[in-house]
Amino acid sequence: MTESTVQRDISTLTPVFVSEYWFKAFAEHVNHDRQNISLPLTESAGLTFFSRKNTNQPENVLESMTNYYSPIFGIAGQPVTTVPSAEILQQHANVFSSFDYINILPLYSRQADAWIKAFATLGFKGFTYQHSMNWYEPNIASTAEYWQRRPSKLKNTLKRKQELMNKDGNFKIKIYSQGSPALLIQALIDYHHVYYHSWKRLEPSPAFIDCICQYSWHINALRIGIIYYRNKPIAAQIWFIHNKTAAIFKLAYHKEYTRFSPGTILTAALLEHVISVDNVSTLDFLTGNDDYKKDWMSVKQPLYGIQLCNINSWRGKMRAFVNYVSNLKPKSSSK
Amino acid sequence: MADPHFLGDWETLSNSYHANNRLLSTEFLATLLHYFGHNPLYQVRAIWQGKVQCLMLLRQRDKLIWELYKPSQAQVGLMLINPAFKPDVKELLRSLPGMAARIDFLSLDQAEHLAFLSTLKDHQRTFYATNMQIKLEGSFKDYWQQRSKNLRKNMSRYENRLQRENTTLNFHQIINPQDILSAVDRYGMLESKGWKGKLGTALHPSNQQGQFYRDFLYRLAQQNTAVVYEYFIKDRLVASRLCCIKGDMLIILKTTFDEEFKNFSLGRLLLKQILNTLFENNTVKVIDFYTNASPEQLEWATDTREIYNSSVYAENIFGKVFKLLIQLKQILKKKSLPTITEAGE
Repeated sequence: MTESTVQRDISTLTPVFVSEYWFKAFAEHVNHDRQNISLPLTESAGLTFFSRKNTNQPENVLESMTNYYSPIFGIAGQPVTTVPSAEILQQHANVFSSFDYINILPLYSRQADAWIKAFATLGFKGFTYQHSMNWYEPNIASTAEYWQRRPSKLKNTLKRKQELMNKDGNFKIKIYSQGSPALLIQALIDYHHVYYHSWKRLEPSPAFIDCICQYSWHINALRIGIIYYRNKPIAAQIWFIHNKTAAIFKLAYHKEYTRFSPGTILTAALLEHVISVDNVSTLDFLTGNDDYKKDWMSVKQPLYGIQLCNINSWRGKMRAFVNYVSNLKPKSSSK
Repeated sequence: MADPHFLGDWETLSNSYHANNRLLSTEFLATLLHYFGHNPLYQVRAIWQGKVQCLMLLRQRDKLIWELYKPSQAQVGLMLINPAFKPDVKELLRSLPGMAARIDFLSLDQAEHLAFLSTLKDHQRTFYATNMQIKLEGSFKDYWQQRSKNLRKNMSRYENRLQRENTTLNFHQIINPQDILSAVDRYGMLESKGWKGKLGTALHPSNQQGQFYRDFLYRLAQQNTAVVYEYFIKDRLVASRLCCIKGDMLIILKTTFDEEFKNFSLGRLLLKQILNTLFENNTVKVIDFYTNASPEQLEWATDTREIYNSSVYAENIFGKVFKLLIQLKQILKKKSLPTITEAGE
């Protein structure tokens, strides 16, 4: 894939998660063994799916090109809020109608409704379920104002841990935002070393992370924060910037340094950077309802998945019936 | 994980009988055990006249089958043996706990395991790969003149293509321990982008294999016996080879290149550059590839040798019945193969 070297104004960027590059890299490094389907809508926009045809599953299923790496789904190359109109979907009606049902996720509430409405015109009955939760902090005017909104527990922890690090004297925080490709490669290497030594499972598609970061670096949309202890990376985070929003994509720290809370300190350093240098006014924790997020963010919204059942196929009808029946049950797991 | 007593014996035998092979060194085994150790592993020592003659680690694959411990990073079977010693594999099978019916030995090298291979009957060993070496005798010019016309012509074509496209390759030779760490990490990021990344077998700084190679080569670099060769186009890494040295032999452990530049055949160009450098430096005498060499690779070779796998069945009832069942399975498999007919029939 060729990389753009043009430095763009970050306020005009669409999120990297729905960029054409994201879906290309996803198809190449994550979904390389799947049957990927790219449906052009206009010259600069398209829909990306993969098919579960020819697997052991009897149904023909079409899936949005997303997985645990994807905080949101949308039309490639368009703002997240853009949804396909019925007329545009009609161009590919023959493709969609060959599937028994279509799974799309993650989507915001309004997006989910609009996708269901658009597909209804092609004979698909839509069902919605909650997939995850998104925590974010909107309308940030300054770092000081952001911290005013935070609970004192978080502020005290941060102060205490910063003092602990300062007392030790061997910690250094670096924010990587621009520079040569070699500098980025070194920052990524440091990030991967932290990730390897963290509590997280092994990165399944590290080349995808590298590709997306390289692309975002070239368009000035990447911020990598690393804490070094005696030059050894011990905490790392990857953030993406778009349209006055900073999206917190990856967080990891070395298990042996838990007592210093390096994750908390690095998040504070990065948010200081993106608010004061990049003039960001929204912080977005993307997917997940982890307990610690409520200390950092004030607002949450559910993320949904939708299942679009093809009423013109008997398997699609069956699936719709199953969804209909299960929807009658009380949803105890809803958050 | 690694028993110091066993590693001590390994060090002695390795230096005595495998002095030029880094893949049979203590550093390699200890690092392998640290990252890819299997629990339990059984230490095998053959002692004759009070001295250790043969060493290996075995793992039990299932109730009936045992095998030589050999993680995929080990390109040669992890067995050390005195060339004058005649091992008794049947005795080994009898000594194993439980119902050992068969023992498998993978990647036995004629150059390192001849004493073991020569005790095996023909039906006990199967051809696995043709390995290749390049002996660095004389000058690079002499070596290159002795290569096939086809190879020289192809390489000139690649070099001309680079010139035509005004592309300059910058050659880096990395030996400093700190720099080796970054070079291995860069290697991993390049390899992960390519087909090995898709197969899930690439090394990368975020995986165990990546940590293994950086640790192993860092240890060696501290003794000045590791080297990474790289080609850059501007500031972009486009080809890399990880190498280790012991005595006068350099082994190419891993090789990768940027698949976006595959028309330039950068892996081969890098090999030519490495050979040129090594002929000039005169520090090593042999390059070993530990690979299943393709006809194209063999054009570079000055020597080849065969690598074998071996299976030995126990002479007890378990071994005999198991062997019979395996033979029966092979016969049935052959019979069930579809008949190949000529196209158009």
